[in-house]
Amino acid sequence: MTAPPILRKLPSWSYLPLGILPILLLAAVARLHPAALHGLAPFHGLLPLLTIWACACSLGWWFTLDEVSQQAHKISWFWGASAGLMIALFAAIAAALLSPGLIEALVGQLTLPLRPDSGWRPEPLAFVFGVMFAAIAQLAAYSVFWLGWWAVRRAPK
Amino acid sequence: MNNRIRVLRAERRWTQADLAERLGISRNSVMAIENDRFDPSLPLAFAIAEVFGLTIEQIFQRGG
Repeated sequence: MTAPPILRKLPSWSYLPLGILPILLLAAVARLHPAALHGLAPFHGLLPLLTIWACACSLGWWFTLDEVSQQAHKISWFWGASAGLMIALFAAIAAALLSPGLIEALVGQLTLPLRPDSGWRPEPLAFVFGVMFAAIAQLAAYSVFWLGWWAVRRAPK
Repeated sequence: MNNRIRVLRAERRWTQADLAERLGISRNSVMAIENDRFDPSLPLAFAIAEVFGLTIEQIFQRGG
């Protein structure tokens, strides 16, 4: 599939910072100057908008890739992310069955840096931690498969 | 599938980057195709043939 001409004006790598930087900026402002976001209702308005922007950027990125690069990402996502999810599931089930105290200790560690007035309770924090853990495991395995795919393709037969 | 891209490119004194630019793909992609590690789609195979001024059969052969 060929990219529309308007998308060919930017190099493919530029879409990543273009999509992610606004979200990182919002996170930094929310962390460093929370008062600056009062009235903007960041998690009800701005964040979904920035997420849509990031999705649009990812589409732009995808259509500027050639078919070999697209194939690398498709294969890596299928095998790598699936493997990462399996590893995360296995780790979560193993931790729950073998050492329930470990999960409690982890959640306890996570709540330590939070201010008492932050409103976070351990249960929702554990949920967020679980989602992030699965996502990071998927991304890590995806990256390994992607690097491996290119290493094999670049090597002479 | 085997291909003669490396030989054809050398005959024309093109670098992988030159060929990549003519095809509108990355240099890594040229390397993958040239090393017989990736079979291009029919549209890309036609584009490669057009760049070299040959037919697809003159560039790509079935095998290993």
